[in-house]
Amino acid sequence: MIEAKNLSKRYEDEVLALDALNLQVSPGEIYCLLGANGAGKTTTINLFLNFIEPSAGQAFLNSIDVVRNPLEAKKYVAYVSENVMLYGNFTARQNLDFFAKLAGKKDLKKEEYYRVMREVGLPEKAFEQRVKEYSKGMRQKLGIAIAMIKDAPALLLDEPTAGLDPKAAAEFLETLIDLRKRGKAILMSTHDIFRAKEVADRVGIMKEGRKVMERTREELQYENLERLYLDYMRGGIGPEAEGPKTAL
Amino acid sequence: MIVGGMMLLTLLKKEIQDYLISIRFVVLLALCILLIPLSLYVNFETYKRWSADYNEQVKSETIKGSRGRGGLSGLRPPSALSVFANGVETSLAKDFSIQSPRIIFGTGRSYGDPIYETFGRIDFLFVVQAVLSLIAFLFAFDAISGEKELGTLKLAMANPVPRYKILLAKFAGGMIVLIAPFVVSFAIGSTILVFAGYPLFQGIILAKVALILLLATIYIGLFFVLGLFVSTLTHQSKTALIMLMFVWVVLVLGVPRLSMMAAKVLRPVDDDSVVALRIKLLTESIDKEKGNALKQLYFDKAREKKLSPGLLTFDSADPEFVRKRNEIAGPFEARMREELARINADQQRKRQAQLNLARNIARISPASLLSYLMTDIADTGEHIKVRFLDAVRLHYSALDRLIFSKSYQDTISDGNTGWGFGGNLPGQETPKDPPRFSFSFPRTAESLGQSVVDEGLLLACAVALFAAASVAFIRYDVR
Repeated sequence: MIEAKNLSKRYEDEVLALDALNLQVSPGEIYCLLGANGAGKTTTINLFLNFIEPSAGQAFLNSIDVVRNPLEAKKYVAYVSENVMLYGNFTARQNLDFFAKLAGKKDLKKEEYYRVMREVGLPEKAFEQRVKEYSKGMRQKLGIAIAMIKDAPALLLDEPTAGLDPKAAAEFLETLIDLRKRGKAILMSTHDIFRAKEVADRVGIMKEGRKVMERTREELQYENLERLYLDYMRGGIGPEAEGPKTAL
Repeated sequence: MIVGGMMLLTLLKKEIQDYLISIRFVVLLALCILLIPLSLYVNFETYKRWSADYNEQVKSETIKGSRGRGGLSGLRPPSALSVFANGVETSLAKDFSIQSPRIIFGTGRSYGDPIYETFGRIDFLFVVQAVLSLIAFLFAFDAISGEKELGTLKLAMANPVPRYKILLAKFAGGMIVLIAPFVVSFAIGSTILVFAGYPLFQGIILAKVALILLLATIYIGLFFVLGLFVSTLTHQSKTALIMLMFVWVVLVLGVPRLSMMAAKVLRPVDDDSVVALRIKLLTESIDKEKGNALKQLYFDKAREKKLSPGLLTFDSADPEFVRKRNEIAGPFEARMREELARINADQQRKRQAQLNLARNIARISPASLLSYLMTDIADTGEHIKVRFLDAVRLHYSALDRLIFSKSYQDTISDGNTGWGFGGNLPGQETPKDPPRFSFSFPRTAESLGQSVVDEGLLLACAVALFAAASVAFIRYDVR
């Protein structure tokens, strides 16, 4: 379970990056946060990872307050960044091994690393290849493999498909769907409206630090997400009640 | 979940692996293997030559019996530990001679090669002070900022990893990889020295060498921690590198040299040659005054003895003449001693004050501290200079008490002609075997004791920098 209660972040320069965000992502659910640059998506993820401290409100991972008990909370979350850059001189397996051990997994056999790398779609020949020879798509796949090997109940993905070619992005989403089936709670920030609509169980649109709209998969069957998004981007910043509702 | 120790081990293993497969490690290994044994060997060859020259001179003086003339000259033995740090070995006088009341110091030892004289020589101290400190920076500059740029710091810290463990692993991993090639190269160099005949296991040399190695390790560690600290203050490894290069130039090249220059401006001291000239003029002047005062006594004696015109004599058989001569000359000779003692003490005090000031200014830099410490332990530092000069003065005092005060040296002049008289005063016994000049190097505890402030500073610096790096990293923005 990923949960935010009135989560806010005001930076030292007085910029309000996140304004009273309420959010709940249940096990087996993919929640996509949409929004322009600076909307507060990455700030939300950084708050969940305790990279920054909230100005107000609380963030919970598996019901553990990430500020009060950050190390305990981090046991229950895996993270994939926008641009996965690993240790270039290490092979994929060495990178996987290092992060698996940091996540608390020990005595994993080589075959288990290979299995996860296969699952994310990395070719066999790349398993023992140095990561500096990887393409961005391959690095992203290895990033999700690192998240998968942790086997945490919650996943935080910060624009993980940015810069990926359509095939790689599609493969990435297949992996996400698979993780959902395994009961993971997934919070993903993205610019990719179409992919969000494809995989998300719920979508939230953020603007200037506020969540201005939230729709479920069912609701989106009757609404055009792209139109909604553009309307909110052009329109006011008020939350749901103030925002426009555009029917198909 | 893994226990804390396992996590630290995982982080440490990754740091070591990462360094081992980097080009930095290859550069470090190549430089250590090349420079350390080579510098030790070449400096040992020079020491052997210095040592052979010294032994030859000792033998020659003993045969000629010049020591029998009253120990009027002395030699300074070269320090066996100069192989590690040349220090003042080439600038400090290797011998001296006494022409009472003056002490004349000889020149320093030379490398024996004009190229070395022009460009200086690489010794172990230089390798550690300049080369390894630079490499320590190159190992540390991107330890934190580089991982931030890469995004791996964020990825690692998305796991339940305490920050202090990351920093501790970076410190320990970096130090292991830095120190291992250094120690191995040092061991290779020392083995070569032993096979070449270096007296490593003689007396306290081994203990002092171990101390030099320990100091070098602390110094390298200090620069590595300083690099880590700067890395935790920056968010781009490029910025960290530029900052560290600036710091390196200031600490290693700037402060040690500027400290002496600043001390010379703030506490000027006359050059030794100027002081020697002043002493020469003073002794000549007092001698002249004494001669004038004695002139009548000598002329009266010549008349009394009816010597041919132009002849004077020191009549040692006439106790009255000797008594009167001592009565007249005594105050001049006493004044001469007082004046010389005053000039020497004044010069020594000023020189010491200048050195103290230079040393205090230089304490800003760990590179200067290392120089002071290592040369002190290697018996080639400022302390040895002071020790040698003190030993020479002590030797002079002994000779003065036993010989010079029991002799006379009068110069009489009537304007056109000059007469010189010298010898032992009648009734005054001088020792047949006067004391010989001896000089010994301090023991390890003594060497350490002399530099205890600097040692404390070096260690305190390293600890304080690690504490500062820890605080900076706890507050570090990993995003």
